[in-house]
Amino acid sequence: MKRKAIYGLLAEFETPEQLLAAAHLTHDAGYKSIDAFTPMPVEGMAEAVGFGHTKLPAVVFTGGLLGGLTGFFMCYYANVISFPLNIGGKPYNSWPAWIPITFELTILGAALCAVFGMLAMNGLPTPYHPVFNVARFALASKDRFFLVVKARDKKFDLLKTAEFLKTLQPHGVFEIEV
Amino acid sequence: MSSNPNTPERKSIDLAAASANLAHRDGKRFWQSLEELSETKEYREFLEHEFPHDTAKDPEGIDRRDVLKLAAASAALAGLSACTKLPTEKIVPYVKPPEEIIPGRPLFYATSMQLAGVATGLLVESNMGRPTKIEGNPEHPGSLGGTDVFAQASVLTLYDPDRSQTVIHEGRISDWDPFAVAMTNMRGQQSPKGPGLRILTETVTSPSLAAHVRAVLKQFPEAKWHQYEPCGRDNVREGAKLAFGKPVNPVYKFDKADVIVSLDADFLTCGAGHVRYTRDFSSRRALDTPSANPNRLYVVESMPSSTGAMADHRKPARASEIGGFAQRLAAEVGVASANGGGTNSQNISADWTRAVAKDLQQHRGSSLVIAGEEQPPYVHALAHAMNAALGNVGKTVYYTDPLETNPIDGMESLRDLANDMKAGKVDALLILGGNPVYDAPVDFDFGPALLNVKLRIHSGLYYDETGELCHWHVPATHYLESWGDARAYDGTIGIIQPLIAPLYQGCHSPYEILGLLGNDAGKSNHDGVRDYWAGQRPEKDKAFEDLWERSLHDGVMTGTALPAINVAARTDFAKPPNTQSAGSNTAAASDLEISFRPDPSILDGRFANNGWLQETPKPNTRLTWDNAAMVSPATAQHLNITTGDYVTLQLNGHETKAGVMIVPGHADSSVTLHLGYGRRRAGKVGTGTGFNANFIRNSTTPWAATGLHIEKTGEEYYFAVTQHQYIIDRQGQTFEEESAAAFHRDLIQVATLEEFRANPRFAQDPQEEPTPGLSLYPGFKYDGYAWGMSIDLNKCVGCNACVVACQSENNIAVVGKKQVMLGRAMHWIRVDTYFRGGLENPEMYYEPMPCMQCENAPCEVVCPVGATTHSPEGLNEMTYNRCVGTRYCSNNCPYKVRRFNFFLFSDWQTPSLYGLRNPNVTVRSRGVMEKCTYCVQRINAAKIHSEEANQTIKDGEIVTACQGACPADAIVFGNINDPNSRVSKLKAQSRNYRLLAELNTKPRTSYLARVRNPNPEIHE
Repeated sequence: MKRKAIYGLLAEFETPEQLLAAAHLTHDAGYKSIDAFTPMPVEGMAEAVGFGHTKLPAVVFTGGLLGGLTGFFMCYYANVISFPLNIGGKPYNSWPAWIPITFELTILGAALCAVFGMLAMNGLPTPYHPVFNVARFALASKDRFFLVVKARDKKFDLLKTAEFLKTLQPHGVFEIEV
Repeated sequence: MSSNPNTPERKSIDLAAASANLAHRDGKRFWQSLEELSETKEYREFLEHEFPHDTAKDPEGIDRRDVLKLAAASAALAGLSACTKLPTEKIVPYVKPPEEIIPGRPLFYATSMQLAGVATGLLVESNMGRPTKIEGNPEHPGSLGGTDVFAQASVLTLYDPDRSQTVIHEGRISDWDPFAVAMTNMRGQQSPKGPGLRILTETVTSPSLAAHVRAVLKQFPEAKWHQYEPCGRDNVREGAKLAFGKPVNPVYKFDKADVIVSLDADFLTCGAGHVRYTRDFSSRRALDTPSANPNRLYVVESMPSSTGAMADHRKPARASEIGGFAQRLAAEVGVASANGGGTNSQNISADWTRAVAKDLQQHRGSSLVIAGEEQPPYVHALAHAMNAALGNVGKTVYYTDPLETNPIDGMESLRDLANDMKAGKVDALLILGGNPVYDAPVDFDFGPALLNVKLRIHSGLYYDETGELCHWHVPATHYLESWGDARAYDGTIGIIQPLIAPLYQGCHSPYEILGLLGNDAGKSNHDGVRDYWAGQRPEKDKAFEDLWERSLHDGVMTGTALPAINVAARTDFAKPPNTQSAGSNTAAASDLEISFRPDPSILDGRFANNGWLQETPKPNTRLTWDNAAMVSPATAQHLNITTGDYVTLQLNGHETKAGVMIVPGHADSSVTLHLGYGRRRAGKVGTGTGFNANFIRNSTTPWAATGLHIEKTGEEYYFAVTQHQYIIDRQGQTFEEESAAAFHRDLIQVATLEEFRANPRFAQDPQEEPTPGLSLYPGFKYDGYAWGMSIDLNKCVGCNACVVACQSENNIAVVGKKQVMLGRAMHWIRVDTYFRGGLENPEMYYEPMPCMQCENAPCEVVCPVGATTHSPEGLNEMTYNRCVGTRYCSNNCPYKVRRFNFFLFSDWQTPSLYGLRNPNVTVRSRGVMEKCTYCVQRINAAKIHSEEANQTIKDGEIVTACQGACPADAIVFGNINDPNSRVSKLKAQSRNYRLLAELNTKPRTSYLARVRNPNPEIHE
């Protein structure tokens, strides 16, 4: 029988404190690609699984910049290159008149990048997730707390990692099939 | 002035408040209306909002909500009618195109238009066979390229849907053939001598028409020919008879006159040769350099006229007092027999008269005295005597044989006819033109008398009051539809050639009607005129053919001007004859006088159905759609009446009703009522407008009568006056303190000649000029053409020809009296009138206001849809298709020259009006803004033409409609990038100034300031 591919290892805990401690330990042990699932928000959990820096602001800034430039040059193209009209004796390139458009498109570009950048970087939407292959994971929305160490982590080794997780006194450790 | 919001709002004019307000001001400030001075509620509304009744509320009672309801209802019904199959209509192109016609390119033909028999030469623009626009004929001595309001508007009369279209017999539609039969029967009855036949015409200067009448008279030796003109030149003719013993025609040379005295003569707006006289007069008002020597005009008149506004010294005097003044003046200038006579008007001091006389004597041979057509004959005779005494004859005035082919006194002629009719001596009366039932003096009882005539025939453009009472009515041809000829003011023959075949089959010229009575029935109108001249001219066959074609082409028959004749003025007439009861200067000053005048826009009523003329604001009063009983402020106070009172005017047992209007500068104890209004059968436009002055006009005192009694009816009458509309508001701006000095400058700049010579740049104010760094933007560069306009206020006589010309050229709609009252008149150019000085005799100034075509146009920057933009040549253009009607532009226009179509003002339904329209100008629909374009269609036509020829446009090649019409040559248009163009040279003159220049709008239209030339010896 061919073994199915492994997504990662799932460790089940009974209290948030246990999970929080376990997450710290796992992170400190050098595992970077870990994740935690809890029925309710747990303070400090994000930091505990190493969730600190995000690239989203850079994405939003770029989007805003592109939007602003688009707005400005759209006006410029229309008013100076494509269809120049002398309005009230002002030069064709009367940029102050274009500030509203430029501003609006800056906001639009930034907002769109924020929303879609966030979704993309979170991998959302995710219609299928392997953790649900573990039957006990259904308890994640009830009263159990889970820690996942993903197989793509450089330090991951099915046996060694399972051993390590067991040292954290979980309620159980499960293999997650993809 | 500053408006104090705490003063109570006044509903109507308050003369005491107005005088008090004037006293507060420095006498140098200008004002525009009595409403402004008394700060009425209506004035304030117009001041604060350009369109005070802005809620799009139709005065007829349909408001916006109703329109939506109706729209919904008609949308629901729309589905029901969608299944009609329209009939197939085939169009066929020219198989053989007419010669010379290139589609889209107009042709111009020369013709002439007559008013009271005197012709003005015209060039008529024909678009694909439709006459659409009237221009002056530069080769015609009566025009020299200028025109007047009447000529400009006459093309609308041609297409007037209310013109009569078929022969009418006893109220039923008939035809030419039954009429011809009736005429043949009448000939049979009248043979052989025709004692009962009468022909009534208007003044006839046409030799060919007179020959036709004479042919009829030859056949019926006992028949009589009467001529009557309600605003004719009877007094001129009788005055000449008095002075010279025979009727002669005085011809004036205003270009040669340094000093002019007008005795109630409004020679700039009506009367023989007024178009030419305006050109000559204004040519002496060009002040290219401070050393130029302008003429000086003294005017003594009762009703403030355009001529009065141009005067350097003006005195209001009752019409009956002018004779007294004339006699005093004559005595002073050395007319011996005038000594001792004449009591002067209270207004006119002996010193003033003496100073005028001295000025005249210092300009012997270059002065001119002219008497008005409404003044009695002896005033004319005095004027002739003065001109003779001053050595002006042959220099500034010469005399010719009369223009009329049969110079008779029209009033007496009509009196004879009326008496004969009453006595039952008239069997058949042929009325060729004119409307005597309406405009005959009341004592003739013309209408009832007419009913005594067994066969009454009327030929006229309208089935009017007279046509209604006649057995036969034959529609007359308009002058643009018929052949003819007429003399100009100097006698030059102009051939009238038709621009179009008669629009209606029933229309026939008087030639054809007279032909039925004479021996050439069936002869065409063309042959009638041409054969006459073929018989008259020495040239025969080919030579005549050439002459005829040249005359048609040029519009004038060269060398036909009447030669000057030598006549000696008698002086023994000068004592005012006792028969002059109206003009008698013995009438007590307390007696109220009424004077009748031809209306400045519809004359004697012949243009009553012409919407363009009805809506043209009359000079000085800016009244539209009405006439009024005009009185001076003092007389109004004395009689306890005010503007808007509806009164009864009683004179010699007759009465008429009229609305009162207070006119600053009117003579005291006098009422002026213009003729031509109160028509009963004028047509859809003219019927019921104004008040009928003929109800109290008497044949012995046709122009001025004393003994008028005024009684209030207690009712009110509302006039549509544009004077306090589109006021340029400077009051709100005074709060901006840093530029307060600039805002205190007046919109019109005036100086005396002395001041002008001391400071040639008086009109410009360096403080007012915007500093170069005022705008953050660099100025727009206009390479190539840059169109601009210069308007010389020293030349403009306020005649309104530009207003009507613009209306004709640009398909501008007529809106009607109610909409005018709401401030929605659509004229693209208006003539602003300013007053200065006291209410009793203010100075009057005109300032024509087209769009200023600002380089930094404030209207453009506020348009949210880019519907108004600038062309690379500096035109402020409207794109009607983009306009959504926000009216922001109008709101932001400091000059208030934008006009909005609140409703569908253009008539899109009446088929006859389709022909009238200029094909190169959009007919605007509802909800779009429109404005002066500097006649962009003419600019583009010239550009296409020049590009085809691979040349640049020459200076003077483009003439805007207002410029072309201007008889005074006050408006000049051209390329301001070309330093040698006429407009550039005018703009470089020291009198040049721009309106509201401090706003940095950089207007392309600029003005040349007015310079008065007062007599230094007169201190007022």
